[in-house]
Amino acid sequence: MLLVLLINILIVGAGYGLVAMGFALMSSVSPFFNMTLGSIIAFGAYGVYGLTNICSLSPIAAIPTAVLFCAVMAVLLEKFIYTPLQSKGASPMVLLVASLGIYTIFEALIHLCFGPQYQILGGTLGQNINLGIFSMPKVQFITIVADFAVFGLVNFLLYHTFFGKTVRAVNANAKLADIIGLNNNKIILIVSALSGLILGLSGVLTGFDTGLEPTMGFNLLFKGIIAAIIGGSGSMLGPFLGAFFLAAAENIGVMLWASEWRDLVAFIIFILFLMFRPQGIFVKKEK
Amino acid sequence: MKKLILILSCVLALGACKDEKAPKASAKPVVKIGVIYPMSGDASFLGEAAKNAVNIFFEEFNKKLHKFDYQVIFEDNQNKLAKQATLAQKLINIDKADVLVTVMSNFGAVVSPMAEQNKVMHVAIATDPAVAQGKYNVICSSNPAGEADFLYEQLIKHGAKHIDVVVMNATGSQTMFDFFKKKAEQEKGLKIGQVYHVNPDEKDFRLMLHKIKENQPDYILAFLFAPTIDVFMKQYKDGGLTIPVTGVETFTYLRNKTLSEGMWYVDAAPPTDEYVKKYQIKTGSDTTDYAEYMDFVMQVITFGYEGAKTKDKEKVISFIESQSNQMLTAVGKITTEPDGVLNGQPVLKKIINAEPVVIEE
Repeated sequence: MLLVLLINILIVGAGYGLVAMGFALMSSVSPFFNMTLGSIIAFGAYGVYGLTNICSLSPIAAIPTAVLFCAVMAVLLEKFIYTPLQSKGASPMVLLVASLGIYTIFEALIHLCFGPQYQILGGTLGQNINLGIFSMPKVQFITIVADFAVFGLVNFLLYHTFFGKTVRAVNANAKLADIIGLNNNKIILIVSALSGLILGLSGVLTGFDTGLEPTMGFNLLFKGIIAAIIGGSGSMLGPFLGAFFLAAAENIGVMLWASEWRDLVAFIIFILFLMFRPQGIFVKKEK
Repeated sequence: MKKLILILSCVLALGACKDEKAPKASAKPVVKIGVIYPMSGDASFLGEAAKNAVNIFFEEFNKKLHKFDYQVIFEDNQNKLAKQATLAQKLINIDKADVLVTVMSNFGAVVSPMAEQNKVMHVAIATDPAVAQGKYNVICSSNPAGEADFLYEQLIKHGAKHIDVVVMNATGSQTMFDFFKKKAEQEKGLKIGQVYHVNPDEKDFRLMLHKIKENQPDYILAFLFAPTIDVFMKQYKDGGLTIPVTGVETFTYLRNKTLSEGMWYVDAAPPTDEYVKKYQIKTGSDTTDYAEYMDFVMQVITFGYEGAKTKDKEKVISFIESQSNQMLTAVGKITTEPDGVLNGQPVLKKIINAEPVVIEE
């Protein structure tokens, strides 16, 4: 039972981790609760669904196309909605409301195009792979690998490249970054594209694992935000480990009581963190 | 100015022409039927099917002689309980609906006391008999007690001795399980092991399925609806479980029926072949998505009003309760129980080649 519990924490945590990292990356340069990121997740899943079922593309071609589409959508939203709003001095609350409005429009569009029903992405990703002492569906294994790979890549990008330095500069003080000659808008758009890629990938993997429905993005994003807050922003380590912490708490709750308490456990932890450690567990202390 | 006068004259002339051609208002009294259904959201397929059913029903009904005209007003609850009371209030107070139609027990339970209070007839497609309590509430259902008894008998027949149960936190699922539990406690031939309660939006059953695998019951009873059943069955397959799953209406809404290949379950009274054919011709759809129950409801309402020959709701309901037994509907012959419960008869189905096939009636 312990092994099953650990594996489930790993699977669920990896899923939350991708969303948490995508969210944390985006909010590092565009600091507000961007609910449209939920739509980006759903676009990933529905993109693959549309490309495989309607355009008859193979999953190998459909997955990167859908993920790229998510990156493009994230860039377009940032460029044409949020950057203009921010430049007009919109407060984070106005941006949050705007993002909720756009999320609602996108959810309705998904309804219109694909119907409200629950759908399943088929293909070989659902097949089990044997890993010696246990087996799991390929898609879950890929989710775990993707989570660690994205963590490694984003960390490398942020802390070992010049681009990473500029992102951190915009995160620390956007005005100062602008004064010293950094092209903030360009940096924000590149980060949006990266965030869109990660969230799109997360949507695709979730679609293959637990299926897709128009509201899937919002539910996932909410868990991702909780994980990012628990872990703490400032680095990718916080959201990455926060996701596993959240998954562990939820799954232990399910094991001890029942699955109906899963969300209750998550939200109690969320409230406790907001009250007693709003900076998160793994936040780097300011020197 | 001349142009303006010319345009105005044309508009007036057109208006006059339109008036002449407009049909004269019907002299028949109008019965307003307010239907509160999920027209959007994750259960909107029910709403779409219900709308089709209403259109098909009145297309035929209007060809016959009738004493009342029926006006149907659809309201979308988006499958959200919070919207139900507001929509019912709107239909009662603003639209002055004579009849309210709801689907699913938890949604019907919201409207049931309101119907009593406002003396409005309420016809619910629901399993919980509590929804039918009072003078003004009627249920058109698939007989939950009968289905639970039938499921129990089938489990015994299939050699089950020990079962684990997964119940969704929704009135309909809970009511069905309560009926089943009562039957199992009375008969004492079956041990109910672990009972797992899940939320309707649950997406992770892996740990629960592992617990079930360790318990090794003879059957898993799943009182789950779409889309929860889809996720449950997918993870059941992913987890390599072989313990058969069954229940009441378990696989009715399962999208990928290959996941339950070879499994049997008790289903609500299915649509008659005649109705399926008619629905297919009119809509082009292979599945009726419970449209037959909306047809059943419309038949009961029109039967009541036309038979009672009055708009007095108490007389209409009394007529339905006394005269509708053995009525032939889109779900076959129905039986009428006291307190406004009209039932179709459950059947046993098996998933063969990804299609539900009736194997016992």
